[in-house]
Amino acid sequence: MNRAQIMFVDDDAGVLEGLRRQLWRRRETWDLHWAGSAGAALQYLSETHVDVVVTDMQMPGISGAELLEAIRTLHPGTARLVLSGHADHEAIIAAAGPTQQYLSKPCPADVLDAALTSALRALGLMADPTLRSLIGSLANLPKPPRIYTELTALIARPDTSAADVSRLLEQDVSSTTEVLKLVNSSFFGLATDVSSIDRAVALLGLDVIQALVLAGNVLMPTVGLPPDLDTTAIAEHGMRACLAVRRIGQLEGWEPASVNALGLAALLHDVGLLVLASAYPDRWQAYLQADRDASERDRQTAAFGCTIGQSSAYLLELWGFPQAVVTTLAVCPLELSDLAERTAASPDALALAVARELTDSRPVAGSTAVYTAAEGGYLHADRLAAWRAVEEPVSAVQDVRAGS
Amino acid sequence: MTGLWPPAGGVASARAAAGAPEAAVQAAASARIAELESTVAAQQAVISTLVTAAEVRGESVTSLGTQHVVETRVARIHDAERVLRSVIESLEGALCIVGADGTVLDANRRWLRLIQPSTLPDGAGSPGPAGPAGPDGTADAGDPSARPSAGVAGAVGTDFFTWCRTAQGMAELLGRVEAIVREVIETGCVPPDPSLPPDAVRPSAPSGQERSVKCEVGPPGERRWLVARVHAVRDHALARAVVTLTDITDGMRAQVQLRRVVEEAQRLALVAKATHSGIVITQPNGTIEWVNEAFTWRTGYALGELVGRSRPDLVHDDGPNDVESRRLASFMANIVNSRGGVGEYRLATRSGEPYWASIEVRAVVEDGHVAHLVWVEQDVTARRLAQQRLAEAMTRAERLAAALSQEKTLLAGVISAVPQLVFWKDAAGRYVGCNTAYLTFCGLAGEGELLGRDDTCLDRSDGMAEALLELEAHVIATGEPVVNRTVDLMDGAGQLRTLLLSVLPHAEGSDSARGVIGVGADITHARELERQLAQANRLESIGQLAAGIAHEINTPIQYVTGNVHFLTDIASEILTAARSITDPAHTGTHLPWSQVSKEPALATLPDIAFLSEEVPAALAACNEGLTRVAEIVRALKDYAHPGTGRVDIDVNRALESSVQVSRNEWKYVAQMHLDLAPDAGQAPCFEGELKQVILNMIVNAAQAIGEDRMRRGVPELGNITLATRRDSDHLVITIVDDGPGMDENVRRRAFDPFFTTKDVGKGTGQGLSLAHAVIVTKHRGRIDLQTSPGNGARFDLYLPLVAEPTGVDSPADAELDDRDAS
Repeated sequence: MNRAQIMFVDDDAGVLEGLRRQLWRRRETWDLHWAGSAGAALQYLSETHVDVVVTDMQMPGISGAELLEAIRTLHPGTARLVLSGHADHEAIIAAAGPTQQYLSKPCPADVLDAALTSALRALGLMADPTLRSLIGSLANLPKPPRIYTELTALIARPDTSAADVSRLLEQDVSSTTEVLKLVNSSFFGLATDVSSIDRAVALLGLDVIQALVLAGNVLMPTVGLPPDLDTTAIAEHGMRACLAVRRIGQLEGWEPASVNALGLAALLHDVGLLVLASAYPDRWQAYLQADRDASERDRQTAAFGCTIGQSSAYLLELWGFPQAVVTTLAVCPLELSDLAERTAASPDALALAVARELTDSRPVAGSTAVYTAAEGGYLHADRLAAWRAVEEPVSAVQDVRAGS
Repeated sequence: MTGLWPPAGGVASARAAAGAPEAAVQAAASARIAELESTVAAQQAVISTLVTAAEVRGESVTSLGTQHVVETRVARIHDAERVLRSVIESLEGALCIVGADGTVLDANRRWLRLIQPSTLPDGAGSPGPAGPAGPDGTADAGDPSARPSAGVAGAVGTDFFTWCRTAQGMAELLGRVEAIVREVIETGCVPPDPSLPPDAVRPSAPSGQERSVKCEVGPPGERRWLVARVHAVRDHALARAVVTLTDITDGMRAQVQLRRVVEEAQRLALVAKATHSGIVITQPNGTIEWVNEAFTWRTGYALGELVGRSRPDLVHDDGPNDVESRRLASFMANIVNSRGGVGEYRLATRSGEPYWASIEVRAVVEDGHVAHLVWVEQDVTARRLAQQRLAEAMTRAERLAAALSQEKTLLAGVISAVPQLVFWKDAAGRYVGCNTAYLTFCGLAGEGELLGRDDTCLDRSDGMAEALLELEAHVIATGEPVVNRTVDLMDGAGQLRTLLLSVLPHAEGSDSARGVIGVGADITHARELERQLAQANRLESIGQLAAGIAHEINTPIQYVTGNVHFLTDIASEILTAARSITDPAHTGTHLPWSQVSKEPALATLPDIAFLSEEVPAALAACNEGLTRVAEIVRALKDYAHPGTGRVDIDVNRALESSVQVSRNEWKYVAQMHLDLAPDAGQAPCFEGELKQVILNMIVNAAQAIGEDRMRRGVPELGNITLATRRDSDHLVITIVDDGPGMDENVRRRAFDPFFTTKDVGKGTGQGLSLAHAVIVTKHRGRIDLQTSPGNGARFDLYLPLVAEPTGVDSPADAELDDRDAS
């Protein structure tokens, strides 16, 4: 097996020495590389493949943000992390685009270890190197231009509230993902494990959102989304699935942390679809026209080279989202009627699948009748019925929101 | 026979040639007389001839035929003579006919009256007092037997020349007449008039026929003008010359008078034309007949435009409906009755420009009716404006006076009400006045306890008297004000109070009124706030550095954390190994340490070479990291230390702490070189301000280098050098950078407040201005700046080793002192 290649970049030799000793136990499985400047790092990268780069921000010459931007374009398959003691918002905002995960100095050893592990694990989630490069190179997710237009108008108004911004951002999965990345990583030294856009906006504050939009490296509009891809419907589906899955989690009495992660997974499930459809419009068309008789998993894999959930999981893993979210997305069954999938899936993944199916406005390939009678292991008929009962309140909530 | 008669044409021509009216009459009369006389003479000659012929023929003259003829002729002669006489006598002028021998053949009464010889020779008959003045010439002429000179018998036969010479009061005239008559007698012609050019046209009689002489006669006061005419008589038996004298005095007078009138009229016309006043002649209804140039010039109308228009209607463009126009028309109507009047009216020129005119109108009365109106118009706009301005000035002056009076009241109220202490004294230091605040400050109940007394008379123990005496003495001696002197006093309760005192010379009025004005403010509270503010400012600048300092601290903590994690791991391994060796459960026996088998436990440890290299290094790194954190914290504490006035400080240490806290600002763009003289020692400084200046200058240098390198794409670090040295009078701090430097324009303005070359939001432009305030003003030091584009900048801050007593210890005071010194 290949040893993981990890490079640290810092102009302070003491920091590098400290990291080397901190990670001494990993020396059996990780190859650690050290660079005293961004220039040296880029030089090394041009010769040798590195899986993960962890860099300081403020360095003489080329800054950490500039280094990551260069790596993003030159070596998109390399995961990009920042380890910085910087407290200056301006510099952090400048680095927000190309940075996948942000770690603050001083960084506890376990946090650093988890971040590196997560980045390395992400590589295992995506076999296709082309898709790995595609998703790895993203600084901005594909999103409809209208969101950006409305957002700039919104933040220019003095009476805009955080709720106004949240209502807008939640209409687009890409924007939601970008904002959640900033709070889930410690970019601004904020609490991690934020699973709702409202909380994310409230934590960041309108000032930071405004600065991010003005700086132009987060929440920027992109081109290339297929016109027949209804991003609003996708976002709506995500929100409704999120509510449904949280109700299921509460019904089952699961830990609040896992309920939150489950909700986040439901909310962001289709972000990968946006990325894939935008990058490969022809594959999107192929997916739409695929044989209806084939399984959903086969149709997605045939069209895109991976499932939508896998692509989303890869992106979110790279971007430092909680492992529970990533895992659930990666293993979420696509068709509950498939007994094999149903049996193999974890309860979390099953809950997500049920919630998505319940809230999907599109006709579903597999009829509910096909599997209700089937033997189900964990998801036996009673449990499935109970879970399906949570749909009503979701619709009610939606109606209330639409009417307000 | 008829050929003897003078040709009719001669008479006619003589008549026709009479140019001047009076001369014509005279000439006609003379001609007529001469004609009649020659007729008479011709008839007599015919008679004589007839008589002679009859005698020759032996015919009796008494023959009937002849007799009848003779009688008829004689009767005709007498008729002619009577006519002649009456003509002669009816003449306005005096007339005298002179014969060939110079005797007077005939003269009329006027001649006799006019020319009265003093004596008449040969008793030829004196005219006597009333002699020649017989009232009725006709009676004399009626005598058929009488000689032609019957009416003036006394005169006839007398010698004309003798008469002339003896005539009284007319010597000049008669002398000239005499000469002409002589010539006539001798030559039959009048001599040419020497006063006329020879070829001059003679309009009257044919050449040589007549000559006139004009002369003034008579005694002074009764001078009269006479014209004498001498008419040569030709073809007459006896008469040779007819002399007439005409009194033309009245005519001459009338002529002179007429000339005068004409001249005067001309003069008036000239005046009217040339005067600056506008003159308008109108009909009684105001219709313009004539205007002078001044009027056209003033109004802008041409004469042609004006004639026929109504004067009052010209007032304004509004025409007859204008108020002023109606006023003028009514004024004009009154003039027709009152014959004259004056008024002032607001008029307008053709172009509408308004002006004021004083208009005097006089009626010209002819035959009892007003024939014309003469308008004399004078532009009084300037006067009106001046009056208006004067009135305005008066109003203003009155208003000012009122305002001044109010102001005075207000000022008195203000002075009394201001919370600052105000007092004024005479030159001897006695109080003349003060405000309420000062009374309260002195603890006095009323002015009476203060006025007229000086400070020494007042029982004051707070040191105020001494302070005032010193300041006032200085002001009176130099005449210069002392402004914003800080005075510390101990008040009655033992509290330190700070007063800001100004003493100004009061030099208004006479010497006896001279003195001083004192103004004081209790700034105890403000001083306290100032101290707090200075501290707050320092803290604020620390706050601005906080992000950088946080980074500075986070970095060493990062590697301390890493190393501690490593050491914890290793320690845990070692402990486990040690425990496994010593634990009885592990070995099962209690053996001495030396006899325990250590191999199994040690086998789980990393190799000893790794440990012996890494563990001490990790500990050293921790130590170093913690030292770095401690240094930063110490520098921060040092930097934030609030200075207490100007005290001796270790300048090198101040520099080091400034460098330390600003590390994050420079370390990515420049290397810092410290070249601090070990003997730099201490200097009296305001420590907080000095450190802030040093910090500003380091940050400035770093930013200059950073921006320059980024712009030029140079990745290498620049250099900042901080040095200290000591000369005889100063401790010199030098800050050198190898940034872009400044051009002359920037260098000149570098110390100006708010001047900055940085991008908006990057600098406030206060850094170097603060440096100037602190080093130059506050420390009485100086700053040298050497820089040029491309060659970096070098600042030398000179801090005096001996603190001059500036009496200031806050930035506010520093500025005021600076102003005083300039």
